[in-house]
Amino acid sequence: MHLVSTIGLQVALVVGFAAGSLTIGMSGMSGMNGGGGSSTLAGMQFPDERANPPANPPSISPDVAPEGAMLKEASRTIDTLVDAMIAKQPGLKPQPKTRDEQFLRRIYLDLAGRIPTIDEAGEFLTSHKRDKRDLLVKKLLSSEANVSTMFTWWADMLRARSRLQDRFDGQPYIDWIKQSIRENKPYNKMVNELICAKGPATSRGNGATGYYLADAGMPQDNMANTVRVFLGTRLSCAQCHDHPFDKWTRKDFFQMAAFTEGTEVKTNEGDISRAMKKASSNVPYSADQIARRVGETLGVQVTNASVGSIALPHDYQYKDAHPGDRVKAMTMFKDDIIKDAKDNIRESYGSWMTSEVNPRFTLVVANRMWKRLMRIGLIEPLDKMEDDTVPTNPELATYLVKLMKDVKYDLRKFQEVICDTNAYQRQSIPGDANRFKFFHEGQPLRRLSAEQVWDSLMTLTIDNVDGVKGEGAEPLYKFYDGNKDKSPEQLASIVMKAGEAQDEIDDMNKELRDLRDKMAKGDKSVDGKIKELEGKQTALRPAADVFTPYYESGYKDPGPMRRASELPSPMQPGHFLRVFGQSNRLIIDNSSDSMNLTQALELMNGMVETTILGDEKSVLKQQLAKVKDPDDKVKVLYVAILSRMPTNYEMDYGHKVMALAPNKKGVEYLGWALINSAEFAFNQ
Amino acid sequence: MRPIANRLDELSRRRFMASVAKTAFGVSLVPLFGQGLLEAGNPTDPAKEAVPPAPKRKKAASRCIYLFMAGGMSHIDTFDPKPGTKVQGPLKAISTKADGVQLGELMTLTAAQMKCATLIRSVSSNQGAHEQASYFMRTSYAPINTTRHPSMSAWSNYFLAKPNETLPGGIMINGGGDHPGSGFLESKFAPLPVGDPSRGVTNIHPPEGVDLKEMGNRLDVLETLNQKFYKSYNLGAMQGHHDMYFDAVKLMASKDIEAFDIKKETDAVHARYGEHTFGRGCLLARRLVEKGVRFIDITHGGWDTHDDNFNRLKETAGQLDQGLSALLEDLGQRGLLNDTLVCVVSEFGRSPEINQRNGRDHFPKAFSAMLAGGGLKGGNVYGSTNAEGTEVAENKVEIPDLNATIAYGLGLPLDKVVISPDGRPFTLAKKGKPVVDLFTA
Repeated sequence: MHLVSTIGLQVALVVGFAAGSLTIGMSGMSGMNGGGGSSTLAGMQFPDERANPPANPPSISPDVAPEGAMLKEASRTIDTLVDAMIAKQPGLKPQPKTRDEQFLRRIYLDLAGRIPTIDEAGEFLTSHKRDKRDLLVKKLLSSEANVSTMFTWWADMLRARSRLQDRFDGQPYIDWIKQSIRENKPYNKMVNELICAKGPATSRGNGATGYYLADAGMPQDNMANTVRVFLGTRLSCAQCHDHPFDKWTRKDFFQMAAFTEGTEVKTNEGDISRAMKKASSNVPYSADQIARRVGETLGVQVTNASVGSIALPHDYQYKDAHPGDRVKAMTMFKDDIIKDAKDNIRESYGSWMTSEVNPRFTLVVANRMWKRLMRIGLIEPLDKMEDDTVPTNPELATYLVKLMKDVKYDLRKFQEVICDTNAYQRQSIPGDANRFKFFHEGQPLRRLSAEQVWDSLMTLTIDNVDGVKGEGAEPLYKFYDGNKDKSPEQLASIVMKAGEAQDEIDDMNKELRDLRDKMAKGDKSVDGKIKELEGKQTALRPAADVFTPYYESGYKDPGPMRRASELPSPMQPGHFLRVFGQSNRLIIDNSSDSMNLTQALELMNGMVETTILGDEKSVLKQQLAKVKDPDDKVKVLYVAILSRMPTNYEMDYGHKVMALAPNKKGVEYLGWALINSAEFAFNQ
Repeated sequence: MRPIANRLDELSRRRFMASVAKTAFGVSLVPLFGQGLLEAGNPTDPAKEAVPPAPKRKKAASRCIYLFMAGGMSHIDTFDPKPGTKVQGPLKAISTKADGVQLGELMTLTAAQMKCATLIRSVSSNQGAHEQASYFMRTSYAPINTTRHPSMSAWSNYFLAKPNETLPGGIMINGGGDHPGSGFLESKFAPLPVGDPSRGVTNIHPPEGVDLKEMGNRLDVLETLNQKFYKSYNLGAMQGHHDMYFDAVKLMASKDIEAFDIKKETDAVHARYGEHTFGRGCLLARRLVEKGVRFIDITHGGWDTHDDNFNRLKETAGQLDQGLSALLEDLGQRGLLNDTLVCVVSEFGRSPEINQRNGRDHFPKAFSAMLAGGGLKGGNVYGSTNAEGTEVAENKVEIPDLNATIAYGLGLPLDKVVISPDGRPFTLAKKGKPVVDLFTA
């Protein structure tokens, strides 16, 4: 039995708001207690269910969701609803259908997160099958490439970092997300698992606990994030005062927070530290840090002691209660779902959150999925819904909610339906698309996301681009399995041994610093000693790392060239991905597609030259080597980079470039220009 | 469209620039699909946003060099010595060119420059953890998981136009992943990162083996290939894409990028600033300030001296002393000091009490910062701590107040309310109160 020590205090957040720029009087907020729990969005019809939500998490029935014919019917229904709305707008006409090569590039970017390889492009473009688009959609939705791109979507939403709160290893969380996608776990089940996650975080299969590790020590932020991501509502303003523009009060906020009050992230390095001090008066200096690392992997767990009530904060400023009053957990829509003090609070919370009768849950995911493929949501922004929010197409929104329930939250089926619509397959709109009153007469042009650009360049660089993976959390799971039953004393002994080795390494660093200084000043005689010390350090490193016995012996690090989903999440500032706007995953959905000159510098002068055009081993170079005729080389460049054949004009121009470029660098000129081109940068 | 045949042999950098310049867009990038500043949400009632008018400096400094000591600089050993008390430790206090003002003995070179500097010994924060405290110091806001706030570099370039046409308005030297960058402001306001000052901006030169003539040729091919796509889409994004390349090429071709090449300085100058990352960073900062970069943000780490404080400070504080004093002296000699506000800050100080490992621990309650140049009256101390440094004794300066003072020095509008993309109102220093008297006009 491990005694556990609580993680530190909540980060002081309140400094900002209460003393912030707004002074909100009560005058505009009278009667704002949620008004009886109604949460119909204007223009939409919801059956009014205040009935008891299911006590257990929704089961996944073996009954199948609609078969192929019904999915097709759904696509047609969507088209009818979209077209009806377009017809009502004076002067608005739907765009023509995409040509095959436009569809090809778009569907790969959207469902595979990258451009197609030459072979993939060739296969589609030369196929004569009438239903080749449908087949491609199905193929991509169940591909490993799709796992990669859906991971980005989830990771941005859930802020799934390789290191959570700068303390915990996020790899189990990342692996859990990927595996859930791979298995096509229904969305409602995934969300339920996240909300109800508990227990040891590094136990195999329990990665959903990352949901709480990400906000460890900040349970109220966690709840605000939950509401934002799954219920499409910004509650966070109400953490410190009645919400300035929506109906939520501060009390509402705390009553929601009550559901996870008592859920905590705990670690056990305190136990190990104490055991170390008991065992020895000479604890190695590095041992504390190693103990912390062990505590934060082996010992980290999410407790499930939710009590169903919370004390109002000491600075509660409204007349309807006193600071310190205990309030009962209550949903923000005023559903009193905790009937019995013995209820499992979090399970009830999870069930309510993911229930079909929850008025926002399904609408939010339907809208998110619509936006993911159609680029603009029926409700924008995605996560600021209020009672008077009107979707741009209310009937369509209602239908999408029904569809999501009909497919039982199977996101692949939902996406298949959308991709098979005419609406999805229309050409891009040549002018500006109005973001807020948009009727999907075509696709609005979008810059490729950071991950899409990088992954596309990876497609030109490495073979088997979807198969090159990072190591995953396997060593952590093994470490957990191998050590979970050890007592603090046993762990202390392991940690101290590692600490000794690390101390030796650190001591050598001091000497190395001086020697390297001397070397820099021109004294070469110290070189031998430097190498000797470095050798000793290398030999000691395995002993200083408590995870050494658990690393996969067969695993070979594939290096930095792999898809974004297989790299650390997120990458460090300065890396290509961050330069192109990859989310820092500290804020929900904060990836950026804005353009700035560091991106141009990167594409013009960076790895494109060294790793793609300048390296004979790159996939692109290998493909070019297969053809001799310069005109064929032009074709290879176009199909590989832009996923289409060159036009006659382009062929003519390319021919000239190949013939006239100095130093026979025609391929470099053309390849470089195509990769830097606007057509490459945008998803038509 | 002229066939490439005619252009390949003639093209030179100058000619390319002429042809690009002819298209003369020169419009700043406005993200079309990214987060616009005033997008979304219900507009807040302007009356509710009103912030009392803040003082505005008549003759603001137009440049800022912001030196961030990462890890928590021990203030007692540097800026606020307590000679004769048990908290002083083995290091001594020394007098400086400023009457009655002392520094720690590791700051001998800076002591000679103190006439242009003001020590603020009454800084006070409530954040004791590195990440939160650094964020608080850099933004005036505590970090929250729901939005990101801009750094002073981003604010200053948001409110004021870029002084140099081709160089960015903000540069960040040796900054880490936790730099707030542009926060919720557009990414173009984020400082351009320079990792190693001896290497300059990443990717600013054409790839190896590609000379400028070939670069010009390639850009010509690029322009040709882009024409059809640009014409097919009548969108701001097309202009944005073109502008991005235009700005990048302008920067690459700028005669001012040699400002990034510190090798152009003499050995004597290098020696004076110090042959270490911080010294080189200061030297680079001086060159950039000369060329019209408004805000330079340099991070110098290694200050987290929980143990062996006094030995470790010899190197860390020694480097600060060398780089900072060189910078102040150099700027002074070149007549730039009056117009350049130099700030030395840290996320918190370190405990007066010396711990068992001969170190000092985190201490946000009372610590120090230094401002220099920028039209400060200088040669003085503002605020004080008590005899043993455990509390602020007078003129407490909280973090928003410190940042407000810096912003005031730079002539930034403290009272302007900016709405973030998610609809929340912010002022740049969270309504901190600037210490106006530190400055001349």
